Amino acid sequence: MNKLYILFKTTFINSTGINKLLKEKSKKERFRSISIFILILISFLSLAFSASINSYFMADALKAVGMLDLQITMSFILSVIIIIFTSIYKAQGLLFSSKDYYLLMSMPIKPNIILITKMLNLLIMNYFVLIFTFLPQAIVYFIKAENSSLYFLYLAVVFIFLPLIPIVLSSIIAFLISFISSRLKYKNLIINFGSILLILLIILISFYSGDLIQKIILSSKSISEGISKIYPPLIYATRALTVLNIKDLAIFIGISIVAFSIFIVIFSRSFKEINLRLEETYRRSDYKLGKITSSSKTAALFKKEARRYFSTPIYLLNTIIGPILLLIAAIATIIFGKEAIYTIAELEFSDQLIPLFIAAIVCGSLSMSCTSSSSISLEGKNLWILKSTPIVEKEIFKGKIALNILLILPAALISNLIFYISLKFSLANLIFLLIITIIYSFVTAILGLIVNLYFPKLEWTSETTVVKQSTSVFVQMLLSAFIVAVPIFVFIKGNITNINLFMILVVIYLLIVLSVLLIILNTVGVKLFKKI
Amino acid sequence: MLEIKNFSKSYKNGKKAVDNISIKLNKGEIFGFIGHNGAGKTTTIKAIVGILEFEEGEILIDGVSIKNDPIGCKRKIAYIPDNPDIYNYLTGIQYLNFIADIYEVSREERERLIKFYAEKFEILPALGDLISSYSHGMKQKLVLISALIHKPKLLILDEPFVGLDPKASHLLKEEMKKLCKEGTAIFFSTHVLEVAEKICDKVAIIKTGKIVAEGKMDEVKGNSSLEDIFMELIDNE
Repeated sequence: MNKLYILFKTTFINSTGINKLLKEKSKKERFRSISIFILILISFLSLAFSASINSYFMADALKAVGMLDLQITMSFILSVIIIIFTSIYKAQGLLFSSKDYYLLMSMPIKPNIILITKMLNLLIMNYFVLIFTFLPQAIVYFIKAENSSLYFLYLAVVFIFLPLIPIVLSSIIAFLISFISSRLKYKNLIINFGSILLILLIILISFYSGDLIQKIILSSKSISEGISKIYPPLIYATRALTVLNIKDLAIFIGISIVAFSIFIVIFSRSFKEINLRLEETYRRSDYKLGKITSSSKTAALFKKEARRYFSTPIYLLNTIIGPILLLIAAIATIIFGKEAIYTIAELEFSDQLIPLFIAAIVCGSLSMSCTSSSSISLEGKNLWILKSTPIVEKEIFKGKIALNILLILPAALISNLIFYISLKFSLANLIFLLIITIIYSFVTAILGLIVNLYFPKLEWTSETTVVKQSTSVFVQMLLSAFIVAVPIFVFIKGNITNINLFMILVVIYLLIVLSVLLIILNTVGVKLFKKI
Repeated sequence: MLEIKNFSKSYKNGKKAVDNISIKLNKGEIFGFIGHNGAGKTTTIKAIVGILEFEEGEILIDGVSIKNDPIGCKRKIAYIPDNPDIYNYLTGIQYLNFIADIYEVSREERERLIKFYAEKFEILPALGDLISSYSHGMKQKLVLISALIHKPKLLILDEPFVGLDPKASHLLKEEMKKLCKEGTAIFFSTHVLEVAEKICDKVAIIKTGKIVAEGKMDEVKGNSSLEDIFMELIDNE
């Protein structure tokens, strides 16, 4: 138990970087860490706020039809989905092929203690997310249902046990992905391809999910029966909270503990073997030197970036989803016409506004696909190679920006053309759209690089922490959203009627942003790179 | 070839990691840089190769300041770090080709040199495999080859013998001697004092950021062994 505590404490401090907040001696660094922490907290609070508002209105509507309990069920389902999908990647980095594996296994600690520690780390991360997503909705339910204050005691217990089963599920999926991929030569290619297929499947299901859940619930004799078909343990959790039934609470705790314990017992037995198997790599050792081709410095740097990108599944999946979604949206307009756009926007508007809305979704999806915001961090311990070789900083930047542009621009331009054909807006609008897309793709790529130069994270144990959890990626998303939000805000508040004039102003605005970013990159950016 | 003049580097808290050191290394010389852990060896090396920025002092490569012309200086240098952290997602040949592209080595020359060194260090059959599948020693050999294929005028090595098998260590020593005969200057840090004693023309001993002994090997060690002199200087407060 003592070892479990020591191990958990150390790995927790290491993975959260909490020492940066508490023990950093440099005042400047400490201020920076605290500012980032506050920024993240504000974002999570706004997430909690929007979750509360949404569930408040939903609760009102459900209460009116006498189905208030469905509100807590929906928040359970949402939480389980969030946990499963966000934990698959985390579990891959934490449980399998983690960089501290050999260090920990060489110590006199039982493998099940190591496994439990890692699972606890995964749990804590999920509790943090649940505080801002599930809890506000559960509190809204309490207010609307006017339950006794005993509700909070039940809620606390349900909250603690809620992530156990989803985490086990995502760990098993993560294991299967790692296991299959380690046995194949082109494992990254297969992981990339398989994951993209999975994402497309999820998108497809989510398109129909509203109908699906509705059908299941309607075809069931009661709501509870409907839930039990989707995810059986939730029926007990729901009953525990809605009618404060101690028996249901006990069953929910029991199921969660049994599932978690079975996982720990089975996996701790084979934890060592699984990790060793995953470490085995494919080596042919039959290379014969043939003709070698040479490239320019810029081309060599670009090739290096591209190889890094395609060999890191988490990097690729996290950034390729934007262009894929955009293409899907464009193709959807061929089939469904304007309706597809109205579905995305969740409201109907005049034809005149369609190009503006498309510009906004194109820019939004490009912001989601920024590879440059983690490109410096991903150099990690390899950074010495770029720093000790005769390459001008701007050449390095060019390689990273070029990769980002080449990944997003073709898909964005093709989507624009499809939108133009299917929605039949004017040629002038198409030209504006193409110009905005081109400028904004440079804006997002350069912005990402600058932000990463300001917030590099070179010490990491898994690429997942850089690509999904680093300050740089987070700040880039925020700033991109701000850049896109400014014209939208001006349009809404400014009562604008001349769309073409507005488009010209947007182009000028983006050109100014791009110029400022270029100046920053070529001056401050170069200095920052030298200092890393 | 390498001249360090009054070089100092401070930590963020103001404490000096390296304090006013001066070293001169001519063409064709091998210079051993010796010191205990944390003495300032790697800090000095990182400043020489242009990884670390510094404010105090001057570092000249072939008479040119690394501060004024970092790219020009880096073209003449090959650096081998203490830990071969290289791109795991590339194959060996892709990494060598990348380095050759950056140093603008002609296609014929890189083909010849890669074949020559890869055969010599017995790594040629593995060049088509991903670096992530290499052992520590194989990565070390790959970094060595990548340093040698662009024919540097100044070779900087940080603990080069760590992780190499005996045969590769022997080959490296032979290669270092050969390069010196061809006019390359070599500056390396090491804890293996026997090797330093055998192959170095000059030596410097660094202790808590300051040079405590420096000069030609024979002058520094006199009639004693390098190990005796090192222990004497390090233990002497």
